[in-house]
Amino acid sequence: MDSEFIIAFKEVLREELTKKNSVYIEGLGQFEVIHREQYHKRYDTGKVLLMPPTDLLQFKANIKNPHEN
Amino acid sequence: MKIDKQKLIELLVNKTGMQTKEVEKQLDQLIVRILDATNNGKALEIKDFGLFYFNESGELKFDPADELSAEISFKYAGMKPIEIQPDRDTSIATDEEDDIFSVTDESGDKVTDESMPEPDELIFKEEKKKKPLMIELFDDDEAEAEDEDFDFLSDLPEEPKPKKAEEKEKLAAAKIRMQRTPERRQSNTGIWVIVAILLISIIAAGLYIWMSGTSETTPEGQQAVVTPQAQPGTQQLTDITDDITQPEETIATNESETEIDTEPVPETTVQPQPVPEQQSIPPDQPMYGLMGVLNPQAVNSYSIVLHSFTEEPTAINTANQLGMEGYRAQVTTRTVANNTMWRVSVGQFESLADAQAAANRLPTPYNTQNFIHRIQNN
Repeated sequence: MDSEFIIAFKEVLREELTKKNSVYIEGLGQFEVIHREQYHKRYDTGKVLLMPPTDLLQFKANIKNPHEN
Repeated sequence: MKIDKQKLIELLVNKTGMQTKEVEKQLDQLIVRILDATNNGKALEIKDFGLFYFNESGELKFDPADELSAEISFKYAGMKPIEIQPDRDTSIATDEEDDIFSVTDESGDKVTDESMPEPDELIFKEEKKKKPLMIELFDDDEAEAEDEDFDFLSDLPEEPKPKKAEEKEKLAAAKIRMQRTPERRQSNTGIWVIVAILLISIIAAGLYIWMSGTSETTPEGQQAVVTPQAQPGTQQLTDITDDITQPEETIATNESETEIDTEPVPETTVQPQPVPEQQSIPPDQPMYGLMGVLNPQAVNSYSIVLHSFTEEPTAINTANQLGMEGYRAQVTTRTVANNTMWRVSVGQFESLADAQAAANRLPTPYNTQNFIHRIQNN
């Protein structure tokens, strides 16, 4: 496999995902960016933190492990 | 927008300059290679992109590389959790008081023998040792340990009184009384701590009034001149509070002042920058609020961040646009891993709760795509 292709593949996916576009690759799955809002995190001690928002990359596969059966 | 395989191939053709068939072939080879590796129980890593593997339930998983995750969430880079202080002051203090006072309550009786302090004193010291460890776990606000101590000690003298009447009816208390002696000593310490805290509060309030009075009568630019004069007072405060405790809010104020005066601003410190096209403040404008003109005297305020930019002119233009819409817009910088980001935020709020309430009232998409940060002006 061509290393130039791998570099281009990474760049294209990175560009599209930073633009919040989802990328669907047939036979593999879908990459998409989801936004997680800020939320309150409460510890057992009673301490409450306001956790910052973040954008996360999520991958949903459309195949299963063939050896799983 | 959704990029399907066909569109992806087009993009790859444009990027590489290869023929479409060649790109299709390479992409298929890549997919086959990923699946082959993962089918054999291995994980395939594409450097700076991520790791493909099958998990225990037979699903293909992908863990993005740190670089990719950082790029995708670049807008929120460097953001740290904010402790919500009001909850902390009330709830935690009472919980810990219950635990600790289960011992100290009993000392309400008049105990005259102060020569046997060992057992309970040890317990008390252990309690104090545990607290800094807790804070290290959270790695957040330094002031909380002192705050907890403050809550504990400030209530100490009041607690023994209701227990007195109950204890008088119990004759078997004599032995226990011998072990309660340490709390009597601590209550003396508590009184000194309260006195010290009161003094600190009065000095801090005086400083605040003096500084705000001075800054009202001088132009904005002279605030920097005022701050060094306040340093001896604040330095004195921090010296006093090395061994004793004080409320969290006071500490936060002092920290911001001393930090700015005594040493260079760390990389992660927010540095407020005024928006160039700033108007004069109307006399009837409140100190804090969402709309109006930015008030430089609203120190230690909370603001709602709507944008983060890597270029300063873009940030300033955006802030100006928001300013023209009537918002109190400002630009602050933040340095994260040697990358400087310019954040555009609106509003000046006295408390986090006010800022959150105002953020919910913002128009779409700002009402959901925002976060709140604290701005400390010098």
